[in-house]
Amino acid sequence: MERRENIQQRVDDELLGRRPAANPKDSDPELRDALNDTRRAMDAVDAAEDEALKARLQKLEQKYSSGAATSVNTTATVRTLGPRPAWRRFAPALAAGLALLVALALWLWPAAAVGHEELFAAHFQPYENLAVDLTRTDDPSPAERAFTAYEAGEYERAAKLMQELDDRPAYRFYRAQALLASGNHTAAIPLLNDLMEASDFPLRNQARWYYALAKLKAGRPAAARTTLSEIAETPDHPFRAEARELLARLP
Amino acid sequence: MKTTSDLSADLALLEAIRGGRHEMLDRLYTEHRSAFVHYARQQLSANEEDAADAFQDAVIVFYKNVVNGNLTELSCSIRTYLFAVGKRVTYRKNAQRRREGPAELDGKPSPADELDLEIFRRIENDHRRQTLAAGLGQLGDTCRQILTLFYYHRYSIESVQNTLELSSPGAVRVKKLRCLDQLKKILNNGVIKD
Repeated sequence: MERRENIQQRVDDELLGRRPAANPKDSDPELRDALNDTRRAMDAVDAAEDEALKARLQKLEQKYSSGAATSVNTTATVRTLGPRPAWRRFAPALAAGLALLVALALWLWPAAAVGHEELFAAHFQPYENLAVDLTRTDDPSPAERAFTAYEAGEYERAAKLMQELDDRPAYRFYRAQALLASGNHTAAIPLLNDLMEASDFPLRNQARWYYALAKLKAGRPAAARTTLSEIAETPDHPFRAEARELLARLP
Repeated sequence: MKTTSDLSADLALLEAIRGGRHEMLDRLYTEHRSAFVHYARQQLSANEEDAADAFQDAVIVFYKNVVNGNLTELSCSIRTYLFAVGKRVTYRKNAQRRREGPAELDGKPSPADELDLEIFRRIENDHRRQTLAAGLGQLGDTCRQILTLFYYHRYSIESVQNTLELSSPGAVRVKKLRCLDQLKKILNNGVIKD
């Protein structure tokens, strides 16, 4: 029993990050088996408790979907009406005129601007980090700091950190991603424009897709449409299906 | 603008959660949920259900990073952290909705939809996790609590002893080992594949 307890202690220390992982070739078979079995047991604990936490938060969430219907104040108050001011005789006519103006505006300028923002948000997903391998270290390099922020979704910070990196195309590509994700399409557009024309950049096709999205976000649907059409007509383009879908949804 | 006292409150909350007060997650959720859902609906084109779901996932990710030592200090407010994670989850949900929705452009199903391996992988992974979770469900209450407090909430042996009012740290170690053996047998006897 004591030996088993000692083995389990070593396994727990390793799996809970209290000691570095042993070299798989060096550890004895009993230790290796205990490690694998415990890892799977931890997965089971993880899965079950994730479910339980999620259920707890979903129960809290129910307050929001049911609370709105029960929070209405139904107490009625009687107020004495005073004499009506003269200008209020014209209020119905004024309201009708305003409604007519709003309707005219909507007919002349349909909600395309709002539609572009929604289409962008529905189709934009920051590109997965393939440029920098991240490991746990006490002394991350500038690139590791920048891409850690990127993977954590801290896009504004990532964009600032990436600005300090060297000028290689891959860094510029991800800086454009971070800029787009943080709402700065204006700064992203020229970066993507250069990258999509760089014949030796392996992600130039991806850059072209994001350039189209950036143009859409900038309220330039015609420019977006041109680029999307080019993508839709490129047989092996990785975003060809998405481009066709987006073209079909553009007003 | 975040004040010093706001950041102090965040740090105090972080310490409380790290110290085992995981019920503080409820407070975290109710304090920041509405702001995130509003933001996700306005800026990320998410519907309310997806936004709330993403925020729940963000809170869980935050909690797990706190207890497993990945998040030991705050370089930003907890709200900013939760929003960042929630945003990423929302982007993924938007992408999933597009892939799983009726994406046909000419009425015919797209080959890309039928062969979407990522969806199949996700379903398989979900199924695997459900099966693993069911394995833990077959243990008795005390075993489940010991293993969950130790491996998920990262309680020390002494904290497990105090929380469950067991007799000694040694007794907790022995009980934990037996519970772990039981769980391993359950998982090995099932058809869970890694």
